[in-house]
Amino acid sequence: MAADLSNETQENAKTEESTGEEQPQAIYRGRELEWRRTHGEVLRAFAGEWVILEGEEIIAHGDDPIRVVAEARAKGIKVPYLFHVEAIEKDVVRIGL
Amino acid sequence: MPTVSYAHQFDYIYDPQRGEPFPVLLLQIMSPDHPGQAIDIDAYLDSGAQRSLFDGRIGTALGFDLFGGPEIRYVSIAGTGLAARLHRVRLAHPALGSFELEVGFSTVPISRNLLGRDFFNLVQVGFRERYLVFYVTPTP
Repeated sequence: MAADLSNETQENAKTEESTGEEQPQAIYRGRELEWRRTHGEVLRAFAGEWVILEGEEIIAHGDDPIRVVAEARAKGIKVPYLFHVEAIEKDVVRIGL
Repeated sequence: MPTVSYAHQFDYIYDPQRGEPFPVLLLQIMSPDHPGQAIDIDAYLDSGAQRSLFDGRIGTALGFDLFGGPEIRYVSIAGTGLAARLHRVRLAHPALGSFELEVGFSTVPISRNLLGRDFFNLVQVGFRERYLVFYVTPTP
């Protein structure tokens, strides 16, 4: 496991203790997920692109994830968080493949 | 009837573009040979997929020689499909640990990475769609 991950806290996970009570824990990439949740308008400008988000900052973006990841690494991001912003298409239902 | 106890609960990831939450696991993927080139990615839980599939360009960014892996075809229910190459990856998550898995990397661009039944063979996943959460526990 890469170093950055070993130091991270749990994902958007809540661990079920033996008591049966859920113990909320810190969210892995929680800042990024919250930013994504609350910045839909900003992300709309990146529809169809791959985005690297670190905290609340877009580090790199573009059509080519190879270039986007390279750009983030060049900026010192050891483990970039890469995701694709899907374009909204009317009357489209997506399945896996 | 068996009862499954899950260790972790995950909220669906909300996509404000669509206004919808999706069952996505944010995890780290890396080549076992190039662990220093790990990437955190979104991966959609897809119980209909026989094998996990990732965008081939992500494979290249991880340090794989994309076309150096064995060829495999992924076919949709309509019969259309895409070619992919198999490579062994390490998937890691702070709550779930790490797993090695041979997955497909597409040779054409795709917009979603999919975790298929090969991943579900390593972890037990339960969906609660009504509450937009899923549960995961490493399979014993």
